[in-house]
Amino acid sequence: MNSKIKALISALATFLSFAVIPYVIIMLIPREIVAYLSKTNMDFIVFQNEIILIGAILSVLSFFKNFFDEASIGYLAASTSSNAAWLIYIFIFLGLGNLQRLGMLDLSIEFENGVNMATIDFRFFIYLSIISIVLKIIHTVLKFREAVIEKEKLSLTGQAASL
Amino acid sequence: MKASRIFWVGTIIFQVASVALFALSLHSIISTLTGIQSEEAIRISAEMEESTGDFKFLLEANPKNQGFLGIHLLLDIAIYDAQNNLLSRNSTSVYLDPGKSQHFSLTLIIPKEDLLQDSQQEMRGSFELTFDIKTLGDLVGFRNNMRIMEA
Repeated sequence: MNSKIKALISALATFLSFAVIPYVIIMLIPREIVAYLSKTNMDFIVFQNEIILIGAILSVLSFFKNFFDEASIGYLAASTSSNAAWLIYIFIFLGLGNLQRLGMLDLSIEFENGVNMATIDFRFFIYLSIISIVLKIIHTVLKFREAVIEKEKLSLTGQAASL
Repeated sequence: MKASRIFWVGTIIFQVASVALFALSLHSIISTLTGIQSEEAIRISAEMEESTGDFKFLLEANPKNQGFLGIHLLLDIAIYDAQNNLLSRNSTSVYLDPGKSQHFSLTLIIPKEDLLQDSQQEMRGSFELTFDIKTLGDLVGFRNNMRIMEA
């Protein structure tokens, strides 16, 4: 398949899976739950906008990752940036729209005669996602190095054949 | 096989395991939480002990872990007076294996001396209920603290 078409399909699939579908899922949450959660320190609109924005960034980076040759610096840059964007996506997702929370969510809601405070601790998954992204970056570097070596070998074989 | 391919397989296994652990932890927390909030799971009663005149507050719980991972559940109750001074506090924690439930009770006794002497004045204060659910070897948790004023 042509690399441009492959890159375009990959970008569209990324945008659909990680921007459009999560956006629609958030929109489908019953109004009562949204109204209840809106009374806490959580902002649904910001969460939705961040998801669509980071989803768009991921799809653009996915396009360039698949567009560039694996032995090019462009591929290495796009792929590494894509991995970093993934980490931000996970941080946003686990922080329900707040990047700085880093998996530690504090939600408080006041009612007529009192206050209800909830704390959700997802820090362990933040650590797991950091490890996962580091592994993905190492994989990208290994893939890039192998592609460069492969390209050099092909070029040497070509030179030898022409001699 | 290329080194990058082996690394890719390892990374995918790690990612799938992470997502599975996230889903299992979330399921354990949510199912225990919904179980706790049902009427049958927690019963609260208060009565005045006629013999001593102390105020006795009893919380009975029968939480069930409907998830796939074991959970640590901590329950803490406290009563404060109108000036926000702690009158009484008690807590307990239990470990629930998947699918298991356990009955336990917590008692708070407010001595007669701490109760308002003036019977014409309505007794005011606040009640605090905290439950802390931890799963996946206490690495993932949910803590809910509810304070009802002028209870």
